[in-house]
Amino acid sequence: MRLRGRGRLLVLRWVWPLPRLVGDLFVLAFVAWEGVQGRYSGASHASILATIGVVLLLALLAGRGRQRRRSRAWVGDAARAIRTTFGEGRVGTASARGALVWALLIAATIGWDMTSFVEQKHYLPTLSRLFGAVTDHDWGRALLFAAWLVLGLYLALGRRLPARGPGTALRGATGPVGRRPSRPSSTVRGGE
Amino acid sequence: MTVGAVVWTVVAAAWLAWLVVSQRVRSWPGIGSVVHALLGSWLGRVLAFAAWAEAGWHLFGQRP
Repeated sequence: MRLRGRGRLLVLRWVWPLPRLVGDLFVLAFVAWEGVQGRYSGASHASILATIGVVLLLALLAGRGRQRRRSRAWVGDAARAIRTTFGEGRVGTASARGALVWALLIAATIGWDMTSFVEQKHYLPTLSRLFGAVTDHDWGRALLFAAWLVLGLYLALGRRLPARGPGTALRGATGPVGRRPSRPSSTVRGGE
Repeated sequence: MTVGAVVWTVVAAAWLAWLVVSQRVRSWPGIGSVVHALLGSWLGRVLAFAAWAEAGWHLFGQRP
């Protein structure tokens, strides 16, 4: 029996969200399962590697032809931005100074973590020891794993050009057709 | 409170303060701008992805 008109619409309305719902339930179950795994178990290692593989595959499949900039242009822009803002005794724009603060914060975090790691003293905990205090609990491991998974999916799928058919991305060095040319540094807002 | 705990508290406070300030002052690059810049090309995306994968492997599979 073929459904027509309103009946078909009603069935579609109920059936359509099902794959999404099943997917969400699967991810939730996976996160909960990961929470109770020991960090040295083979299942845990396999699942982490599988997660990395699946997210990498998603990034490759979803990102083909939808990247905003070519890598060479991106590196060139960054180098040019550093030269023009900090070179030849310039003080730098507000945006460049902001980027410097980001770099200092990252350097301080990595530097202190390395120092603590090299010293190996109980009163100098490393970053992984601090996170480990959370992942020692099942709920902590599950929550942190969920956050890590969301971040990975964002890195794979976020900030892509809309899919508009083949050959629409990467036209020229100034960005996609129909959009404003990106700023020279393409890294920071304001301060030009 | 140990020396390490004090330093990590200061570092965390600095991160928090900068995240808030950079969001409020338009001329300074906020976290969104940094992420946008990083994901702007395949090279930046691959670097971010490598850091993400390493962090996950270390945190969930290795941490002593």
